[in-house]
Amino acid sequence: MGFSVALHLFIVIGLWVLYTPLGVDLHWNWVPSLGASFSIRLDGLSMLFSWLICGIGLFVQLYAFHYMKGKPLSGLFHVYLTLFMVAMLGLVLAGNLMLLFVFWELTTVTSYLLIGFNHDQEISRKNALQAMLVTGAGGLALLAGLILLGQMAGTWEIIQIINRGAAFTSDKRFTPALILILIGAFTKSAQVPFHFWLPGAMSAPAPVSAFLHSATMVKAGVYLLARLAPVFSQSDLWFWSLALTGGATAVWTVILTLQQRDLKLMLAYSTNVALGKLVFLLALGTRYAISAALMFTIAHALYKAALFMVIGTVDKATGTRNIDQVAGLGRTLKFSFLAAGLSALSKAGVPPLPGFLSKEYMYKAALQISYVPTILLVFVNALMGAMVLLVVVRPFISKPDAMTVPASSVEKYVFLWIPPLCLGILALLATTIGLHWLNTTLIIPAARAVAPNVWHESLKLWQGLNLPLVLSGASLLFAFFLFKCHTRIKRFIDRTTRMLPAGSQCYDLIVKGIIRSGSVLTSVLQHGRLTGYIFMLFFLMALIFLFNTPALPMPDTVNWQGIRFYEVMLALGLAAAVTTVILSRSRLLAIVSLSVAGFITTLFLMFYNAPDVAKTQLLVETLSVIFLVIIVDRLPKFSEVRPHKFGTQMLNTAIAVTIGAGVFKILYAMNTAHPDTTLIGFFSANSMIAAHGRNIVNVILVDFRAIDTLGEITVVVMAALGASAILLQKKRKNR
Amino acid sequence: MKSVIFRTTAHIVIGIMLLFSLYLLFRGHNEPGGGFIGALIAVIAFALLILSESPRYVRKRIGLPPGMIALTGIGLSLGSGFFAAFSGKTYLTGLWYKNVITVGTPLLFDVGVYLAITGGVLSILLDLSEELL
Repeated sequence: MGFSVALHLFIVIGLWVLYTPLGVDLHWNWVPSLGASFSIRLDGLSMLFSWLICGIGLFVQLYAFHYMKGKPLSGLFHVYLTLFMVAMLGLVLAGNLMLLFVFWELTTVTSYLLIGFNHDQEISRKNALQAMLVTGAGGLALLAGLILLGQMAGTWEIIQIINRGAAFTSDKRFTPALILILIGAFTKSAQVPFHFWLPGAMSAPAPVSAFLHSATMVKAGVYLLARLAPVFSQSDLWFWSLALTGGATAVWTVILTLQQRDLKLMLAYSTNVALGKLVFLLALGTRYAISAALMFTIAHALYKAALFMVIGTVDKATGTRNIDQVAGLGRTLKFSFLAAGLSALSKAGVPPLPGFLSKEYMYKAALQISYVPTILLVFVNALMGAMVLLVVVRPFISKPDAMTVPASSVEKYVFLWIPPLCLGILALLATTIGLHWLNTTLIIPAARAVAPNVWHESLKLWQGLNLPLVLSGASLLFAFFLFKCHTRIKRFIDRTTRMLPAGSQCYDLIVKGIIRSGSVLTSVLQHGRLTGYIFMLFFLMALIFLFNTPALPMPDTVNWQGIRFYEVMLALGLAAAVTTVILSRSRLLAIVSLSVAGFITTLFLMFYNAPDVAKTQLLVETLSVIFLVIIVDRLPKFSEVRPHKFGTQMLNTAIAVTIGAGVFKILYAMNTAHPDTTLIGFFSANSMIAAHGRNIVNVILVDFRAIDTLGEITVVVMAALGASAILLQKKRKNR
Repeated sequence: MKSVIFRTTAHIVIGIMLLFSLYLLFRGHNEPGGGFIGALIAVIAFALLILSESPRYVRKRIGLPPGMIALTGIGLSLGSGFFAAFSGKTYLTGLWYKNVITVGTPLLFDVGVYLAITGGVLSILLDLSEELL
């Protein structure tokens, strides 16, 4: 515990010492040949995010010390949390696209471990896998997008890419890169239609939800968008895709939120809403929108983490998270109630909390555009307000009834209420005493990183009686009204959404489809019939010879005088042997004839002065005969095997002739054309001097090209292991 | 196949073949031969023994599992490259000691090839013949 706290404080203070509002760059070479360097960019934006990550991380770790106490593997849980935090920090601090991607994937992997921490439950495993597959697929798209971006810019350093940003818009790689990067960011930040993994991830323990879904994992996509905004924000595609996706996410998930009865799921969906709003604000990209987005990031991280922890405590005290079964907890969980109240006020947008400030600027930004986004935001915020009233009023204030589960007083464990209360108080301090400091050190430098060409000014709490303030008040009133009649609204939502497919059902269908098509493909290609495999192999080879005839230099005249008598005799013998193989009605005769053909080939090699190759051929031929002799006993007699149909026979003949003709053509061209003798010259000249061997073939094998040989012997041994495995399996089956 | 003549001659011939395979292995660098060819001859020798006696007999006489021999061979070949790597040259560069007789890491590499091929092919042969004979 001490170590963990020390680590967090060390990082927070270390970053503070390094940080200047103008930005700091650190650089180490990592893989210079790929242009990937271990460079760190610490400016306002990364500072804001890394402080949120570290700060919330510290409180979550403290909370988890009690929350996970006595559970199996709780030590490992803290290790996972710390690993995740480090990956997340790396992601927001990375100054190089490749480094950013590595950390991006690390967050996916470590979050899988965290979400699936209760791995004895099937639902936990399934949801963790779902989260990983969705974000992992997005990660692949992101990788492709980042590579395109890096190629466009000719560098992997983010700061240089941003500086050259304006030059890209005419590049034809611009649009694909943008789309791919957006897919990556949208999957990570759980935007519609990928929003379903986030509520699914609620099967994780409470501290994980408090950490992953407030300041970290899901904000990674938002961070990426904010980081790359200077490059892409000029394009229309950026504006429309961000605005539409963000807007759709906010509206759709806010409707789903009111449908839930599980307190934690309500918070999960409201995180979706927050992410939708953030993406929407980034689309607008004006001065007010960016200030609002940054302020909202801070506000959301603080109140959402606190609320998740409070719900965890409620779960701990009562054993349920169902909103209908908890009531009147205000008396037993006093401090949690206080923390939840502070956070809820911030979330609902009551002054002077950060939530209020961010909403003010949200309305300001929307009013600058038109009335459509303004109405949309008022609607979403009102529904969020109603939801937060539900989450806090019902469990803590309302009177217990027949369904209520009694609560045990868990607040004697201080770490269950200190962290959320601290976050609530921090939120209160941030926008009252600390507002000036927050503006100058974080918000304005960060806003400059997102939109370098816009003049940013400080956020002010009181800006006079204006339309945004009226809208804030209106949405609060509207929220209260919705809260009063929420049961009727819920019934209405249930009725209308029943017809629509849920995101996770689509996901299940897709995954099942992939698995099924995989098994179909396997059963087509891996049918287990040896003749089928051989047919497939030679059929494809014949196709290649037919349609892709190698363009080799062909001689014009044939030198008939150069042919020796013994060559003719050997060729005739070869032809006779092969004909016998085809025509023979006995397996033994076929095998013997086949080996005769092989031995004649060996003789050819001897005549052409290749003793090493000839020897190898001879030995391999001998071994093949031994193998065949071992097998032949067990094969059915030729007379018992049904002959192929006429059509199959013709097809096989055609394939054989095509391959024969193709191989002949290649061999003929190779033997008559003048080969390139550079290699032969090099090896003959250097064999003795450099490798101390007169046998060039062997010197090539063990010295010049030793690494190839190493690969080949490994293949032989792998084949042996494979054969052993197959035969062993059969032996077991027989037994 | 269990004729007395075949069995008796096989035992004699196998000894000669194994000796010859080693001879080919060691002279390989200068004359036709080498690890691969030597290994094939060794496997053929063992195949003769499998046919004249039994796979189980061969396994017992060799003592080591053939898979083990193969892995040792790969290990030797892999390892022979590190001599160069540790003396600051590229991995698998041949290093030679020429003062008394000419010996070098390529020979070690070739011995590795010999063992890997012998062990690998022999393993398939033994498994298959145990299954079928």
